[in-house]
Amino acid sequence: MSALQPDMARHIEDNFDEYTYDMFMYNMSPDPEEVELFSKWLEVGTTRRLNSFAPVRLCSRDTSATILRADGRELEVLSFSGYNYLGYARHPAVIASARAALERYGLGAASSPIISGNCGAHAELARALVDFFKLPSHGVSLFSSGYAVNLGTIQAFAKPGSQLILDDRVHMSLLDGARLANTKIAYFEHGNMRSLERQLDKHCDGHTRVLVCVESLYSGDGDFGPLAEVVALAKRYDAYTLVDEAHATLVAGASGRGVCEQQGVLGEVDFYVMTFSKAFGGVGGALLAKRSMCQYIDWYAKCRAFSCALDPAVAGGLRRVVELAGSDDGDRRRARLHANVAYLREALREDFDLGLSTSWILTVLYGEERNTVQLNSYLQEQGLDVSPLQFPAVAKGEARLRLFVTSEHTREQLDTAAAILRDAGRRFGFISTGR
Amino acid sequence: MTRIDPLARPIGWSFDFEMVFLFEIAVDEARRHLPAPLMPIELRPGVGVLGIGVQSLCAGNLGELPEVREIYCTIAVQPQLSVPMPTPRFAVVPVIIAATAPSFLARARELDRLNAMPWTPTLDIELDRAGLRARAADDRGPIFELWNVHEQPSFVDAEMWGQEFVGVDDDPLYFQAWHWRARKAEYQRRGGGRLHPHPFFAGIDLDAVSPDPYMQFITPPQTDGTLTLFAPIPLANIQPRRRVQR
Repeated sequence: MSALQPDMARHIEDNFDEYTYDMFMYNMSPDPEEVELFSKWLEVGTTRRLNSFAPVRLCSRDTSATILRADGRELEVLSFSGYNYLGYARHPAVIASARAALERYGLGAASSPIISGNCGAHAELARALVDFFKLPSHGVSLFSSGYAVNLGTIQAFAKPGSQLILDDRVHMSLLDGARLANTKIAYFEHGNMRSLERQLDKHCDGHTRVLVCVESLYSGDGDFGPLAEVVALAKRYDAYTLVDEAHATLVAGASGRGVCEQQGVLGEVDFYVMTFSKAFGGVGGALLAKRSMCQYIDWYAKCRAFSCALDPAVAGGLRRVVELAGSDDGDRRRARLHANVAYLREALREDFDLGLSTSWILTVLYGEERNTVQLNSYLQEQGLDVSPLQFPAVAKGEARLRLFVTSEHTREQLDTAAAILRDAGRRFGFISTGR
Repeated sequence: MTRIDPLARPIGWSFDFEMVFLFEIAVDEARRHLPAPLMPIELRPGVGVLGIGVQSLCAGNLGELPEVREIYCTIAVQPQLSVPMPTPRFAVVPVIIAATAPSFLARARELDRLNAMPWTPTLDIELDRAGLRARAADDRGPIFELWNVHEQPSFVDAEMWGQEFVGVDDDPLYFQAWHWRARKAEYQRRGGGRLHPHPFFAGIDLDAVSPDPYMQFITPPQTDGTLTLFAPIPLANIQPRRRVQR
């Protein structure tokens, strides 16, 4: 690779805090200079002991971890950066079930699910999910990644000439699915039903297949989508609906069936997307839809049909998760989670701007993107691991820390997190009060 | 090939106020106004970025120019990172500019190779600095209005590097680097702008542009700003094919 020009390298060193992730995304040059620039930026951060991103987890517990930073330091941190909302990732019964499937089926499926990759663990998981959701007319399509569920479903269902209408804050997987499908794409303003109706009115002509894509819980702001209104509007215009419940399945709703259950539209959504990497504690994802639709998606979602099947050991563990989540155990964990969220929100709300969050994804706004690197590094050094989010993932000037609260955090840990945040808030100037 | 210095021959401009608002534009429409090989930035699939701005240039620039108010319309494109300069914050194609001084426009066209709307004495660029509002119109009608929508914009010292791709008439494409320094507030809120069908928009289909901006970039009512423009260089001269070790 060609060496970085000295002036460009020096500018990164001298103006490190002014650089943001988006500045390395594009380049019209035939040579990939953006790769060298990004590498230099990381190198400067590491040299200054500020590279706190994607640290290696040497040892992971439910709510804490030992992390190895790029600069070689090992730190003990409280973990609020993972999505193991109900603690199932390390549940002994889940591990045992995964181990049994590992022994029975081996390390991986070693084949596409439409060839020979489909095994008993997959069938059992699919049955468990159908039973959990109590929708006997529905089936399940399993995917080896949550991202792929959106990619594959949209690509298979939305044909050339179809119309997609997406909330303008949906996840990258939905945007990529839209791009992959090679259809017409329109957006409505986040959560704005008048904006959605304008798009439906414009594009639903009776001859065009229209799919509305939204999320149930938006991980950038921690806010819930107005699913009942979205579904009602879509039905009025004969449009289909896809709801991505990645951050809400097993957690939201009286029985953990998601925000769709909470808002009374569970059986009315055409495509219910869940991922297994959050409250399920594993990896992969699934589509819940009418049985015939799932059969179709199984065969026509290219990233499913032409990719390896979900790992059988993971499927074995996930089946046990579904059983537990649908039992008293799940009810107790959900209750603990909601109590923890309420407790931490109350502890923080007078000191910080918590943005639009009303969920277990708590957002603490610190505003200035240029503070991100220093702030995240400082928080880790103080023993707190959170998930910062800044432009272009969220609006400019509204950078935030995200805390993913789980059922397994103790009150002591929540108090410690709040204290560390107050300290950081005073140091970096984003605390509201003089505390 | 002789190495070309893209930061040669800088010319500094003093300005005391600027507002730039970003609108979403359909990528297909943006592409219509971009010369090859330029590609628009996409915020999301199918959505590009149209910038509408107004700048108040101080009297005395180049030793002789009067105070000038300038408006401009740009489309955001991919930068050219092989150019030996600090990483640009963004790159644009200035689709068109207009200004209150004919001498400024003549120079902009001749030396900076910018497409300029012919000067008219009826061009009225009104600035409400305290209210952080701007309005442009001429005898053919209103062009645009821009206004701050943030309750408490927070201004910080800032400097940025940027790139422009320019050319007039049958010019080949030119590359121009710039450096900007002033106090500014930057935030992302819907609202605060309105565009009107007007020859200024040089054939841009405003139906393909969002009705209001999504991002705002403003200086305080009075700032001590510097915009340094470097001499345009033929793009072909700074796109060396280098051997890279893969």
